[in-house]
Amino acid sequence: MASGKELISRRRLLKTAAGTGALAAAPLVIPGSVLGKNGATPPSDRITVGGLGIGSRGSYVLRFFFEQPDVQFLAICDVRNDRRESIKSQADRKYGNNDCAMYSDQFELWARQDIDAVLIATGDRWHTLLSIGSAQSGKDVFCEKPCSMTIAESRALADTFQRLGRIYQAGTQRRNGPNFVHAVMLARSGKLGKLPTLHAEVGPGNRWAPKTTHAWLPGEPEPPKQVCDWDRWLGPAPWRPYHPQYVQGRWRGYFDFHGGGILEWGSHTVDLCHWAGDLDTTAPIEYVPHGMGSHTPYSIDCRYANGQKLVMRDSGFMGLGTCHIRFEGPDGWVETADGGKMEASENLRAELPAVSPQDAQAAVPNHVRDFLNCVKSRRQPRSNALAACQAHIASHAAYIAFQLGRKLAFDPAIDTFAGDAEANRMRSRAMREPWRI
Amino acid sequence: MPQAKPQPERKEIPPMVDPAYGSAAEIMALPPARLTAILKDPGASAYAKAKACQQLAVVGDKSAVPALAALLADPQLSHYARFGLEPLPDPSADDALRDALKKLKGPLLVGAVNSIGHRRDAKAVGALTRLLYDADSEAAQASAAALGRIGSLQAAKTLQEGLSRTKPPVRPAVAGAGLVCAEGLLKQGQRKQALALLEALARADSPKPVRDAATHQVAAIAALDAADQEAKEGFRPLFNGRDLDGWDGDPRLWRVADGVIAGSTEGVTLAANSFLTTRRTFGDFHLKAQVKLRNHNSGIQFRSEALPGWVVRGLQGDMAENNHWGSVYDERGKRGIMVNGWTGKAEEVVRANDWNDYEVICDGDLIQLKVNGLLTAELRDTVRMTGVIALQLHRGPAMEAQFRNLRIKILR
Repeated sequence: MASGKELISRRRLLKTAAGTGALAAAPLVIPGSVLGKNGATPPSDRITVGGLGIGSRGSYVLRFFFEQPDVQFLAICDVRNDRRESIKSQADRKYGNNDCAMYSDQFELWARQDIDAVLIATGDRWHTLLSIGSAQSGKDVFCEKPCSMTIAESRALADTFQRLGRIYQAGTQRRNGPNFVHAVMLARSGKLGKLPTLHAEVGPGNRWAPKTTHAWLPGEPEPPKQVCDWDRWLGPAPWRPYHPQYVQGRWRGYFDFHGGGILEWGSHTVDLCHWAGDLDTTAPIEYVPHGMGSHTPYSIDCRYANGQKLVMRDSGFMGLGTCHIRFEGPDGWVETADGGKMEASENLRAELPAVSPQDAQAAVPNHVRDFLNCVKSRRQPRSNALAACQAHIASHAAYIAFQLGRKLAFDPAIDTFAGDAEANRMRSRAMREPWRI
Repeated sequence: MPQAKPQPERKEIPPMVDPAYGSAAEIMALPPARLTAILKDPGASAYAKAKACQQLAVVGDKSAVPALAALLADPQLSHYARFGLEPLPDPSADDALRDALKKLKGPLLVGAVNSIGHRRDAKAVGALTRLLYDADSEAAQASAAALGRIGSLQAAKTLQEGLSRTKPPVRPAVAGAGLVCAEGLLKQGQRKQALALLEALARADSPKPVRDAATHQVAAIAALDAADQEAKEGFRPLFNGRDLDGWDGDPRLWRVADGVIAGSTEGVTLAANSFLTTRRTFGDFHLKAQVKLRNHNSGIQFRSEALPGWVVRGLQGDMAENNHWGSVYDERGKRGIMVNGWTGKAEEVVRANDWNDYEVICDGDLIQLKVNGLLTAELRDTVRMTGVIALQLHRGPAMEAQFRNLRIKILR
């Protein structure tokens, strides 16, 4: 819940409604679900959720929120009218009422004291700002990845959630995907030997080639604000002329809206490598880019203070699926990818679990459940803000090395590149007024 | 996987090309002097100027600052000017942003204030303090946030005053900024000033998330202060918070997690009481620990003799469910309960199923026990003047005892 006290006040409210208040108003009938009959969750144990920017990915994740008996979805905020209407109709159909509120201004949703948690699935440019604003309004956050546009945003995200004690789950659901978890645990158990080299697939198959473009598309007339608020869509990102392509979801690859292909995939794969190496509170101290300029193959070879190596690369994996990770130690190796397939060295093969594609697909619902459990227990979930922050910083730093085309040294204690002023100037981006984090 | 589904291939739309300066990539490949010239070219398009600003963000030096500053008042390009200025290391960028505060209004003013906050320009505190009381509440809120990020003593003073002198919607922003400011002060080692600000935030009419966080921080600082004070008095950790280095016990019974030594007999049948024992011995000392007991009986041995099989003999600071806390017991000896510290004493102060402070003081022949600060037992004994310290799990019903913050001061 948003907090113990708010939870109590909501309980008290119900007590009044169901108790003396209800007796005074004799004809009032309280539906069984309100009191938790027939296996339904009573409102006092429910987590009330709002959505911020729910498009195709958001709808997919939201489906699993809807499936949870202890979730009540109360409000949608989106810059697009068609999306507000669509989410509202889904919610209202599910609950058989007309209660789902629609907003185009996040401050109105944040002002709702009865909302415990939010699902954020806007474009990347909004992720950190909305996560921080939600925490400041006392809400817990499930936010799609990538969680930040810059190194500075990543740090601000972790600091804010630490400062305010809110729960944060990044939408890096592979931390709750059984094959990925097994590979990580093999590495953490020491069965691969000391300090295995960690391999993270980034930008596979030339899709979203790592490089972003600064170009603008030619402008087209803006739609009416009510249909789509272009200014709000841009949010903290630099202004450019409207083009429907961005709003329809084709905004990736544009520097102003996207952190690049390394971050797109690294937010998952580097993140899993960090978990495997018990590196969730740090980032590599060295980044050596190879093969920049051409699309593929390329890699960024990284090293941590403890000597462990991380290789972010776009190719050379076993073709098990998308989003490969591979851990290679002196005593054995393991590799896995989306879909659940796993391979390992001879000595470890017997230990590999059979993960069906269905099991692998359960990552998202597992991840949503992990978040909801933590909202109740007040423990941080697997993809908490600090872990996400550090994996994002590693990915951002790698892309900066890639863009500059040179080896970079980095101090993860102060998020600063050593002896490279240009790299340091790429750690943040000024936000368009009036936005700030 | 649903994540990162590729967009269906569609016809690529050719991007914009500036008639004078070419594509975005061509503009951004120009040397800094040429980029600055674009900003000064009255005929250059907004596209060319925008891209020039974005490249100057990485490569511009102080010679680019006047041209960037000139765009701060341009509604379309003000943000691009800040995009160039904000990461520019030269202090003339700070001067330009501070100057702009006098000229800008509305959202552009808010933008400049935000950039000043990002750069943590301490020279701006005076101007920001005035803005905190500006009629434009958006600018006032931005000023609060900037002061929070700057985090200087003067900024803290301004924010603390602002807590009582501003009204919503500015006051909640001041409160939120105060929290950030206090964090900055703590990082600079200004614990006293941070505490003053946090206490004000915990009291004031601040938003609940801020109040809760401030209350939590105040407690954390108090704990830090207490630890510092103890360190000054000569207390040192007896348990490193990570593992059982320096201790010896039955590995089936003892675990370390989250800075806590947890002992449990769940699923294990003990033939005798089992102890986690220090590998070294202690004679005259003051031991402090926090303990939490679930079910049955535990205790802290001192000046005790370690016997084979994690068994000990000697004096024990006792504790049990609803009994024996603060008493001295002679484990494996003939003297039984030597001092009853429970009746009328520990029973008044013990928190069941919660953390309790337990102290053992051995100073020559004088032995004292304290529970939650209350002296519960005192005796003089010279049977054994030195020995191990050990933590007990009792045989019998399944039980759990947890210990943390074990620290010891050697008296001589």
